[in-house]
Amino acid sequence: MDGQKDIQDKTIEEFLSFFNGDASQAIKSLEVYRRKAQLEVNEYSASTGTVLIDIQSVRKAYKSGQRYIEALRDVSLQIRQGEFIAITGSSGSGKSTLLQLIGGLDRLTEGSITIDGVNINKLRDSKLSTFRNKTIGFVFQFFYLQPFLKLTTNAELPAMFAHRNRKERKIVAEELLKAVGLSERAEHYPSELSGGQMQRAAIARALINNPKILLADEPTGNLDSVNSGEIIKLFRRIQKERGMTIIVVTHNPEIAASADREIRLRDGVLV
Amino acid sequence: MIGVQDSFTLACTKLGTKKPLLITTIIVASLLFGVIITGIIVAAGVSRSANQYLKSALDGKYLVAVNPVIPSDVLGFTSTAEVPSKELKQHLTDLQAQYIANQEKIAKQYSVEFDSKSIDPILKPSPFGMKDTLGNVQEVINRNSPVYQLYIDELQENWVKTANNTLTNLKSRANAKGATAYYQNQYASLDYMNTLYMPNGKDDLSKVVQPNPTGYDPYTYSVQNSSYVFTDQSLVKRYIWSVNEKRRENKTAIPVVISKQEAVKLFGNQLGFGKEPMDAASKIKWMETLQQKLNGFTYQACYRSAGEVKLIQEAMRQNQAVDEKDLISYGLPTSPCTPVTIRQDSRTAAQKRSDSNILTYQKASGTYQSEITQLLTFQVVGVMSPATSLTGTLTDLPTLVDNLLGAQYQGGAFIPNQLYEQLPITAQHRGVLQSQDSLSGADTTRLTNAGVAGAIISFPTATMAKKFIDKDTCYTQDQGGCGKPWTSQIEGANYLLTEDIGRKAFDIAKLALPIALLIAAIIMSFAMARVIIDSRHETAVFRALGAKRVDIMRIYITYSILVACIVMLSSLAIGAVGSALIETLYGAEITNYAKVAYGVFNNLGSFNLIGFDVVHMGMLMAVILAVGLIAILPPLIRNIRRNPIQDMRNE
Repeated sequence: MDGQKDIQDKTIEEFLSFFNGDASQAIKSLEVYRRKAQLEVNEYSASTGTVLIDIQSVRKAYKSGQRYIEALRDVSLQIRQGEFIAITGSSGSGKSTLLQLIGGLDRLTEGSITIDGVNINKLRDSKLSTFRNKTIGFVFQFFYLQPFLKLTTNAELPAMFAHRNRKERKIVAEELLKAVGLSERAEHYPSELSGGQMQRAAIARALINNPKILLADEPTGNLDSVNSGEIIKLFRRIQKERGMTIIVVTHNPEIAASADREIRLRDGVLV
Repeated sequence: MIGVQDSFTLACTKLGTKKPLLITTIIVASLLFGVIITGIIVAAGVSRSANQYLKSALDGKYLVAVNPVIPSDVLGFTSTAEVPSKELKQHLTDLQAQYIANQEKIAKQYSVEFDSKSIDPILKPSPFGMKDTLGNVQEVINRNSPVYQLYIDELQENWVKTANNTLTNLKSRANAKGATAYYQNQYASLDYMNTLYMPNGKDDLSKVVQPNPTGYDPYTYSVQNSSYVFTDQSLVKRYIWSVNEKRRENKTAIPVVISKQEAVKLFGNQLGFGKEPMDAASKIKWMETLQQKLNGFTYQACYRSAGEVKLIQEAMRQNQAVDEKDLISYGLPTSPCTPVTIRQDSRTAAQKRSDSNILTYQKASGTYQSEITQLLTFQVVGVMSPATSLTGTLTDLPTLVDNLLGAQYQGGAFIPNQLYEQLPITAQHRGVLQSQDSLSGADTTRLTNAGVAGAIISFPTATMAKKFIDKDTCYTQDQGGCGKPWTSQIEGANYLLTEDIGRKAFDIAKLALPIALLIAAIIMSFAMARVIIDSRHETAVFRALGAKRVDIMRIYITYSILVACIVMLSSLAIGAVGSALIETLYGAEITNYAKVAYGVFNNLGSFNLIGFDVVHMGMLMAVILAVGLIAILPPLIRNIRRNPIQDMRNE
């Protein structure tokens, strides 16, 4: 078996015939094919081809009650700079865990994750926080905007932790809010916004420190289809304009379809 | 790391969460601290007002009355039951022999017969019948013997040679502590034995022959017991009223400042000002009436020398033994305070000559007892309000003020020196008021003359006075002495009471403050823990956005400081309202109490109960801040140790 095109052209019967009816060999070969396929960049990608995130044999287990649960098993993956990746899978498949490990919010059990040449497992908490602050922007399903802060200040939040100049970050926050279509709402509080607007504000917040990677956990999970569509467009625009790597955990097939690459997880394993 | 301003911005957002719990916490903690602040404000106000009054009362003189410590035997205070040693007995017998020999010599010189048995012996059988091992009644020292005075003189002469508590030494020590002036009060040589107070001008001869002190409290019995103290006018200045018509008219009466209590007791009914009312508002009016009626009021006392008293006794005896024929027949005084009269003298010329010789001999030998009767007229020029003695704890502000501003003197009736000196010489009665003829063994005048004397020392500040008292003297209130050569007590007013109050307040604070702090810490800790627990997800989000643990800590510590500041401001507001309320309710009353206790009630500002104590207030603010920080630390440490993902997953 060589060449992806070969496999794609074959029927199942033809495919199995290559292995003389040995199903287990056929599955193994298929997994190798899939891994290779995941490394491919589709024709819409803004990828530069440089590997930004290198995930090697990652295993994550945690204790739940009396037993250990393996959230991720032997996950290896490479993501290039500028890629738009959708991580999909059913609930409990490990997709959010993978996102959090990439974001340095959790420690993995085995393996390694190297981002922009830095093995984040080896970073101490303080350094990891700084790394996260500068390199990664987070977008959550429930937005998590500060209810008692105006949108501009909300957007400034990661810059506060970076101890950036107040005036400068305010200008950037206003620009970002303008970029996500919320310039009119800059002085409003989150409670005065719709869900879609809040998520756009959250995206502006994620971009304030101009990170290389944007991680989004179910960003449209709490939005209607119209707003979901707008968010997808926004991600695409960000990817194109900023060359940013975007990784979205989603159940939304539209996002998955519009992503450069879809990574599927089932029971903690890439499929 | 997050900046201060940003952590403040984020901490402020926390104030919007758990509002009902936070408000309850702030109210309860503020009430607790507010009560304490009220106490601090009122204590500072009382202290400041008291110090202002004291400064005015004492005229910038913080007085310490100092007395040298003198062994009791040197003062003649030996026990009447004490059996002297064999050596002392021999010494006293020798002294007696010397005395007799001297008397015989003088008697011979004046051709007077001298009977040595007429001398009261220095050793007498124990009045308690104490016996020695052989069953013989033991002899004790007879204090009534003229030899006893010789013995005391000898003891005192010997003791002063080595005494280290001379006035020179005292001044040297006091000067080193900043003393600025020295005063020496002097007891008038009057007492209940020789001077009879004459209520309504009446002379009771039965009391002349059987004098008996009416009581010992100087503030209540000085006039009645004729116990007067000469003092520098500046020390009692605050009690001396301005001269009125009565005083202008009478310039021969002896000026005297007496106590309010004795004035009420002796003249209250007579002059119609009655007893001191209980309510503060009436006190001032009562004091004004008292002043109006008593200023310039005169009363009398009759001085009779020991010789005159003997004549009265003799006249009384003759009155009763009408059948006996005496060479000289005496007549009792027919008008108050007049001398005994000779009704009939049946002596021959030789007898008169002999009696004259005896008189000359007595004068030469020091055994002459003069026959003097003098009517003394005193004029009240001021009334002082003695502090009620402190027994137990101060339970209310009026008692406190009374103790603080009331008079503190070693005496109850004062003759101001400068006013006394203005009297005509004939009205000064120096012979009876400042006589040294009747010195008893206990009199320290001999020691004073020898340089061992006490003094009233003036210091410019209470602190200097306190330092001197502590370092160089045994404070009178220190029971049992302390081995130092002087004893001391404050004079004029209880200016050290503010310190006592501070100590008492500290005792109360030692109990109340930890309880208040504990309660405040518990409720603040609970409230903050709730806020932090409810913010776990938010903390996880902050961590996701790049916040370090130290950033989270900074935000919550700022939050706790903010809460503490709110508690501080609320406590201050409660303290301000509380103290204003106390001022409104009690200010006027306390002012009246203060003015009455102070003694002079014109031109004095109100006794303000509101003051600002920067040190204690600052300390309390620091404590509130510390409570806020301590309260937040345990839940905060628990919080930042958590895995943020755990909290995100739990969402």
